[in-house]
Amino acid sequence: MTQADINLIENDFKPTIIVFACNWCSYAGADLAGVSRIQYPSNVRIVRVMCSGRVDPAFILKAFLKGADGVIVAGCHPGDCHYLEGNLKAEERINNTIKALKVLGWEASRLRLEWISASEGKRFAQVMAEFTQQIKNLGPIKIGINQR
Amino acid sequence: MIEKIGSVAVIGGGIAGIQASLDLANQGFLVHLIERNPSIGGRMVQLDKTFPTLDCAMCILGPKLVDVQRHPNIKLLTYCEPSSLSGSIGNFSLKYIKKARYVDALKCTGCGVCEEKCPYWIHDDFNAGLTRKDKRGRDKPARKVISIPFPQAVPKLAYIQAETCRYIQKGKCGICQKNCDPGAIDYNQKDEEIEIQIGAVIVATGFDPFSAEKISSLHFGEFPNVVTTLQFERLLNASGPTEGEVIRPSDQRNPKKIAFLQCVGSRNPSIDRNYCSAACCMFAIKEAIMAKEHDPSVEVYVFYIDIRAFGKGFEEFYQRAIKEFKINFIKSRVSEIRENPKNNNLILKYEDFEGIQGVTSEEMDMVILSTGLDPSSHRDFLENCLNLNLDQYGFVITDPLKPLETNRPGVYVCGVSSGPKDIPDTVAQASGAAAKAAILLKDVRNTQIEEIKLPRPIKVNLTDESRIGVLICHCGHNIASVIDCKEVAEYAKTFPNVVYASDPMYACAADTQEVLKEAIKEHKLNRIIVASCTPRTHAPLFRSTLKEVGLNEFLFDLVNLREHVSWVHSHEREDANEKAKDLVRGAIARTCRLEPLLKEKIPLIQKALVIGGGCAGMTSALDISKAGYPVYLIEKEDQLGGELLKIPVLHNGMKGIEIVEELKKKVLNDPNITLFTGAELADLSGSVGNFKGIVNGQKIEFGGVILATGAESFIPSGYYNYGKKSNIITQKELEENFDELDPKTVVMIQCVGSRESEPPRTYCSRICCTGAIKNSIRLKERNPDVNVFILYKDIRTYGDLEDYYLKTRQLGTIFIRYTDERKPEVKIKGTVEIFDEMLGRTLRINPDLIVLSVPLVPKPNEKLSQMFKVPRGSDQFFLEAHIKLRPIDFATDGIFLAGTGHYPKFTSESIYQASGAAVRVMALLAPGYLLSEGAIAEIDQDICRGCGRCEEICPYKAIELEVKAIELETETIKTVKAYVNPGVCKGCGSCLVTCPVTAITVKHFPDKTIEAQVESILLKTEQLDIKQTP
Repeated sequence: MTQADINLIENDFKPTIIVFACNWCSYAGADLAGVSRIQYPSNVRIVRVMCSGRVDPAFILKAFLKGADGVIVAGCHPGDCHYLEGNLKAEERINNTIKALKVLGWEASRLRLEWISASEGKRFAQVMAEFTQQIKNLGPIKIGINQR
Repeated sequence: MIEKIGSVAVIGGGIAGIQASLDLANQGFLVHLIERNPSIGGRMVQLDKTFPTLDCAMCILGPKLVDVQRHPNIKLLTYCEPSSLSGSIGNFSLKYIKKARYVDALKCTGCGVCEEKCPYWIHDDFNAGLTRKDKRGRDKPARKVISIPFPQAVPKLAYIQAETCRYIQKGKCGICQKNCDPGAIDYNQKDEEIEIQIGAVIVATGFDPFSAEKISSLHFGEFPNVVTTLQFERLLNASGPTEGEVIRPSDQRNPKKIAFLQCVGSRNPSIDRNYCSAACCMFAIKEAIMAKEHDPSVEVYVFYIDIRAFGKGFEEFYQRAIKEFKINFIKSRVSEIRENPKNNNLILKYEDFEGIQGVTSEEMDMVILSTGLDPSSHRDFLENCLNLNLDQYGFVITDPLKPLETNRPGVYVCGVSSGPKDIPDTVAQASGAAAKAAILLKDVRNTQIEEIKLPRPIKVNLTDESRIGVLICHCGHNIASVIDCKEVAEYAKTFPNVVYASDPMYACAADTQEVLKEAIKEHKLNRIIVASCTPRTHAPLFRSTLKEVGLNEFLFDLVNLREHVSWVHSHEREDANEKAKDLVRGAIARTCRLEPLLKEKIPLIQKALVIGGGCAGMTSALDISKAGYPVYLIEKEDQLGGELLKIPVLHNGMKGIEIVEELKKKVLNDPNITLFTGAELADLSGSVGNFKGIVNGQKIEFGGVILATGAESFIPSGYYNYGKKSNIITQKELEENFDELDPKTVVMIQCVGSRESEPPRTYCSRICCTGAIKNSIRLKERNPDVNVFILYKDIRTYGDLEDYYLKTRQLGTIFIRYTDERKPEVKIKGTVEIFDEMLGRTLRINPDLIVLSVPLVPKPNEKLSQMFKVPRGSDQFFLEAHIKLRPIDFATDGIFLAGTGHYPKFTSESIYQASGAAVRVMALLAPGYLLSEGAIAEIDQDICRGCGRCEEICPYKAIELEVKAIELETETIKTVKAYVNPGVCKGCGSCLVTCPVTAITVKHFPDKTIEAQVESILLKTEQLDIKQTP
């Protein structure tokens, strides 16, 4: 395969990215990106949860198994959590999940935890664009289909 | 003793009248909302966007219009004009004329066929007189003789403007009647006079834009490309006559060079209109930015006297306009407008101070006149029907300490009726006026209203097959310009559980709610999905619609196609369409698994807490107490009064200490107020309705709280040698030592420590211009020989404060403008150097006193911010729930704000805001109970093993372990189980992730719904079996 072919594959590849966004900060940040008309890749699918602390590691693993190429859990900045410390609980769990991915032999960089506030519309868009690029570079997820 | 009547007439259905009506109706008063136009909404419905957040005006107002319409305690009297008011406070009789619509309100469906068929066009007020091209390219006004006022009108009914109707005038035509299927047209309708009995009146009549024709030199109405800001707003609007394309009237071309002329009909003593209209600077900046967003290549000029960006977030918005959008601001008054006969361009002549000095001219494609706010069309009604005292311009006169009361007891005023102001101030004031009426009529609350009867619930069993209805909203062009809504609706229909799908123009419009209700009944729908905009603002609206028809409000999901798809992927239409389908599919999967939930009535504590014993805090406490609820008032200092104690004389001549003493006396004599001075709140727990805390060792409990913590003067260390020399002082220090100081020459420097380029003090402190002017007048009046120089960036004396500005200039105060690039310098020896752009040279002044105008900064509020979990903005002031329409609420329930802790403001502004916050607390406490959140955690006691991890993790202390003894025949077993307090649980779900035995679920967001949603979104088209529920 020539470099050109690889580029072609890269360009054609449209990853699917699931974003678990907390209702109060990150979902509102995504809303603000919308209100401000800041464009970002359309690969992103947002799933609203009340708190990032609500995101069960099982949701993430299942998402990968069903074919998500990348997952972001997005919550309030430390100190801003609407539920006081839900985001810190999320941090602990997501870090453990990242370790679990490594144990399973999956690429840990397909999962990310981000703090995005309600006033960071621009940052929401930037994170999405940057993560999409990162997943594009990794290529399609190789687990999922075979292990399902 | 007059018998009081528990109903209120609100006159004027703009945002002020709407807010006042909702605040009163929510606490058991019957409201007659009277509007002379055929729809409520006032001026705000004509706006495209609102400053400074560029929120879509209709998107934020639309839900309120619907709230008013659906409120059981509000009688909506549109197209009605009050004619006389008799009686007295507590018991009035109001007569009004119900104008003939010539359309039967009970039969009209608002379908719009009559409008389409009517052959006659008339002037279109809603679109500010603009025209649109018809199919043959002819200019046509956008309105027919019979029409629906605008697409989102409430009520959505057609009406005939009789004086232009050929049938009514001459008996010919009759086309609309022939084409009206429901048979709603009634040419014989007559005006009716109706009389109602009410306890109080709230005046919210508002304004009209100043008629620019009155200034002949502007050639408005003569040169086609001279338009007003309101016309330009309609040009920007997607539902305006050009569908959001900015064109100039003469040749329908997109203008490439446009100019805004400020202060048209304001700040103009030569036409006897000296007041500043307060909102037009921001209005023009907003339109300038919008013009740039529509077409980045357009050149925009704003010709101004002073840019008055004095409200919250305004200065930052202004700076964005300069830096990000490259809008050219030119401080100059245009002396002449001529038209280039060849191309209808406009040649502006003005004096240039920055470029090549002297008179310059510039050719523009289009000129936009910033017309001021003019209340005068209501003068006759206010003066002769309501007998109110008005000022020379037609504004209702109020006392600065009673900004909501008129000369007629029982008649209250809010909004632009009492002075020019923007929307947030109007909203706060409207709530304040509602507080006054609520206090007056507190004993007759709930006497005029009928109990809300919800229909019998539609039974939905978990085993029932899902029957889903899906609405894919166009949101005008907002969604439909990117996503093919019809196709997505068709796609949704392919799923077996989706039995109904449609694609309305506006899902949130009142008529769509009726369509939805009908669909639920007709198709026996038991679950609803609306794909429109963000659930954060619009879910409550649709949920109430479900409730009204008896469907459980939790059997509903909202898909965010606007903020999360069409607005952010506007250049990737194909992918956006795919994404829309994926999200709708995910929602279908989730919705199938939703369960009906019930809300529980939870008792609440009918007491309030006010933190801060300044002018705002005392006002709030007194109002709540007068409405009949006990209040705790906490002041950190040893005495009441706050910063007002430190202001000897206000700009209006009132004395700070006298205002404080008056309020203090009332507070101390009020048995309903428990006062704690030198005290702070500690150990806060609980949530809305049931807060607990400790003050001075005493336990207190309260249902709602107002934070009125205030602000204080910034200390300008390091600015202009402050602190290094004794003759460099602040305005506050000048006031404190006024009698001892006797300067010969005074230089005042404005904006010291405010309007900076970096947070926290990027804001304009609103009151310091007036403060400096006040002190200049006092100095001049004491000694006319004293020289006073005020070095300023913009003088921001809005509204009637402009009079003080004029007065001090007449007294001889000299104003010299400076810019950030060339700030004044204070030399070591005390000489002040300033570049005067009018003269084009640097001036040296040798003052014996230099006075710095410093901003207000919030008092320490970090602790309270953390304690109550309420946010602060980058300026460190408390941050309200919504800068435009919720200026006195926090996003968190039960917590409100008032006074300068919100933003710098004048005493009378603090007073009405404090009354506004008080009415919110009254409405919260009035029912005596709260409804629990339905979506809370639930613990399966059979599985729970009482390990206590959830209790530990719960941030709200909503989970408690209980030990129960079970008596058996042979022995007694102790079991430990966790229980959830439904009034405190917020449904975050942290507990369930931590439960080792999965005994916990969070209602509405249980695992199965989230998992199904994710899985369904991830289904690839080729894997999709259409016949199955996703």
